Amino acid sequence: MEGNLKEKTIKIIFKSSLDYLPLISQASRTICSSLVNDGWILYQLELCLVEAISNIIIHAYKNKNNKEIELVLILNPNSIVFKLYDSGAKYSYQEKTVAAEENQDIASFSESGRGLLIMKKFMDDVKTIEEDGKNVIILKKLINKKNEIDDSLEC
Amino acid sequence: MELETRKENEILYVKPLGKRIDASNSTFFKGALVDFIVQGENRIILNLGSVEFIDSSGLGSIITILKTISTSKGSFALCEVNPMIMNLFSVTRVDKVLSITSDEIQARKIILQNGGELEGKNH
Repeated sequence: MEGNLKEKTIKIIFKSSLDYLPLISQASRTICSSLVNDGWILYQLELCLVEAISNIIIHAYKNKNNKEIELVLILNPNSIVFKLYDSGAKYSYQEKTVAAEENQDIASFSESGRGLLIMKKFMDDVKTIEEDGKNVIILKKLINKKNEIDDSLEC
Repeated sequence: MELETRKENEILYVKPLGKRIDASNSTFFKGALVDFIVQGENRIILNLGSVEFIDSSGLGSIITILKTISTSKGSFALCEVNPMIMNLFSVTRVDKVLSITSDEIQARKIILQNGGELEGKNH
């Protein structure tokens, strides 16, 4: 049998409507929970997926809800990968500058634009490519004992 | 998204009853709270006890609410925030500008300490 027997790939195709967001993210969280027990890690995974999907719907598809998004979840014993495909407009992820927010002045806090910051903070690798004419964002998180300890929840 | 509200001693208590504030409902959430402020509510406690998940749009909505109420010289506090959401607030540094307490009693103390002018009322 070819390939890594422990790797599992699940593909979900859904409409580009924000109404699907809770359903897709919760389904993905449930899938990820087959590998991850830590609630905080699961939150990070779900959050990053939500950020990526929201960006596609809002920026690539300009809130048109009749388009298609393909989510591929790749589960390995040591990593979880989300690949999201869309055929919308190309858009660049603008990294949010946080310098202005470090002065703790509410007036300097912006009301949007944290998606990439969040994805880069919580995922071990974030990249965007083009594949077969589609935009692809790839989010990868390493899942191992050390990673879970480092990211452990601090109350 | 359903919001539970009540008014006690000139403080408006708002509690979202859903488990999520994300891009699918954050616009509604933000609009509802801003409407309260526009209608004259400038002492608001937001109880997030039922909320288990917030994304960046939910975060942005809370910032908008804080900015709006600050403009009207009001006071705003959060309470019963899930530890994971607290972690998100910390990572994004939003916790530096939000008043966050463990429960509504503590939030009320913060609101009263911070003042918040009562429109149309004599002190």
